[in-house]
Amino acid sequence: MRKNRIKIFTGLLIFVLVFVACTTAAAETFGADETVSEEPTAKSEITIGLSWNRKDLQLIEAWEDYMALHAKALEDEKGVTINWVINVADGDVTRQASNIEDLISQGVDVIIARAEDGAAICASYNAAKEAGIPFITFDREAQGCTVDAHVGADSFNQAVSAGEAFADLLEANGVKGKCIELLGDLRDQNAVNRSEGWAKVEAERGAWETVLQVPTEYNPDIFISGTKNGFASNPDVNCMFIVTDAGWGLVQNALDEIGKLAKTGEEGHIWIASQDVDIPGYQGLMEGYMDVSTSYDAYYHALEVVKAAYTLAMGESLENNIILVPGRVVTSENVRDTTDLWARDYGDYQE
Amino acid sequence: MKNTNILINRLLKYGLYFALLIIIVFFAYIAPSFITANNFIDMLHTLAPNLIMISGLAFVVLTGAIDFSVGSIAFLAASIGTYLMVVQKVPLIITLSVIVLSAMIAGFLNGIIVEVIKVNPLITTFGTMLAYRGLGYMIGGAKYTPIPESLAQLHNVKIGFLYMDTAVAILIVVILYLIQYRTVFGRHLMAVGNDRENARKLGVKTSSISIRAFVISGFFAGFGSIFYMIQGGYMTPRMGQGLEFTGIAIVVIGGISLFGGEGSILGLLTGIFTFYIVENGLQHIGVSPYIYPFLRGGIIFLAMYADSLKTKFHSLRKVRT
Repeated sequence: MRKNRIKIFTGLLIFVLVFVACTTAAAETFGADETVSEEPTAKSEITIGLSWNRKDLQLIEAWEDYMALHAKALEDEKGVTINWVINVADGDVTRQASNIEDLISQGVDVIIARAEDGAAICASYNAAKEAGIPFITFDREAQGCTVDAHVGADSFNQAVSAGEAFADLLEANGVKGKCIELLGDLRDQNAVNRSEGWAKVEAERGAWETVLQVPTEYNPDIFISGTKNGFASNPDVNCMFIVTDAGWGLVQNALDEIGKLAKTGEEGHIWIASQDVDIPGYQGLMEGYMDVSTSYDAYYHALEVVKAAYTLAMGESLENNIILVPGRVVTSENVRDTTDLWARDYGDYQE
Repeated sequence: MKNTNILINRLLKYGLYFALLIIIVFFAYIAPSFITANNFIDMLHTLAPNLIMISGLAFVVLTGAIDFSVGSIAFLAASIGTYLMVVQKVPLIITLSVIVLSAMIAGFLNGIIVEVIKVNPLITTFGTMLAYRGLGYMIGGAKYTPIPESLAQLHNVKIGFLYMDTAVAILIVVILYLIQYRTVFGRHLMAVGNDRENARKLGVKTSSISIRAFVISGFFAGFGSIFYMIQGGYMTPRMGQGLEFTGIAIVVIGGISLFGGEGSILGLLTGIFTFYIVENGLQHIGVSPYIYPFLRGGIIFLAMYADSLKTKFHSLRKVRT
């Protein structure tokens, strides 16, 4: 009897746990109406299907919120009601395909998908095409098919612009750089593009020499060990390129432990270039430890994708099918004046 | 034949130490900065939080089970802790206790599912790995959150020449070693891993031992997450990601058999050291970044292969005797 009660209790506990966890993956809706009308009346109402591959970063929350914000502005401007159907695949490629099938069967007017797998998403694109639904990839490009539109960041030029600004900075201060590069995950095309962008400016400007590349795989341990070991094996290093300033806090602690943490203008300052202006990077720039970063503009990504989705849903065509947002160069000098940084909206930093 | 058996046995037992020595000599020869006391102290500092997190996992593996959810338990517990510390401004001592307690509850739930509902540990912990991480994201918002300064400033506190987290990690391994070999619980743990049915016949409460191993695994996952946050100064959404595989690989490299009942907790030190020393050495000699994943994968494969050879060899010997 007692054993049965334990079983029932445990079963209930598991049910609650699974239920709560599944709510992150369950279909979410926001907008004026949760039901999807099969035939929008003369396009006075459109429904956008949004398929997230996963929702494990604050950035994704920011994208979704900004999309809703821009959609609301578009509603007011155009007098069209925009409904959303959103689902999340929790990093599962097959689940994302099934989620997109659901969007197709619900008859959405356009699909936006952040692909878990750039190649696998082509099957979903083909299914949407057969159903006559325009398909937009977001942030991660499809590989092996040409979808109706792609909206994302221009990761190569993001690194180039940060590199150019960094070269200007080193030259202005009469510094010849010897840098450690903390790479991202080599399976991530954005990470590879960033490294190539950095290398391009290095070759063209000659303002620094990259003496060590450490692949971090975005693993926090390696941000720390890579920094420390890089300085141990190359004691004359005076600059770093960090693939994402989301890892800045880890690098900051590592620099602190080896006595290399100093603000811009202080003796022994290590010149830092990075990417994204993520929450820790925003803090690093505000505090004057980091020098240059290029923003990963969630606000503008969302703006562009909503505009593209609206245009395609209305049956119109886009001027450009590939829309890449280049990001803006943010320095410790201009960070306070740079508008629409998602890290400011979603971070807890206070001066 | 007897001599060959002895040779194989010795090779399987001490081969790792020999390989480790060759690796150290190789890196020291190429990069003199590698073979310095500071580098080894730093390396121990970097690996300490992970060592704490997986030390309890070793107990689960010793029972012949597996726990894929260690990294997610650490993440969930740290998410709860960060929410309490940063958002609710709960006093530090209460928060730290809640982190450890919530991790123990997560471990207990794993144990109950495995032992009471009789779900395979691999399936159970694979499921809870996803569920716990999902819960953590819901609580913590999947963002990089700086921890309070009073806690973050402990990252460079030293005890003698060792960082605090290194000293704690070594102490934990020694305590767990004593538990393994000097307590009834430790002996029962090994008995369950060796032959569960026989252990049960001999009066060992096998389910209770297994549940306790999962609770211990949860406890150390939570405890380690505190040091992880201290070291980085942030609660990161990537905390514990990948630990489900590297953790098990480290345990196996350290000589604890995946089939249970064999190996010493002290082996964890060798296991984690081997794993990190290659990474560390490569960073010192500055090789192409594409070599890293190849070598990481190679080490895991060799460890698993050696474990399977060892098990096969011991089974053969048992049959012959």
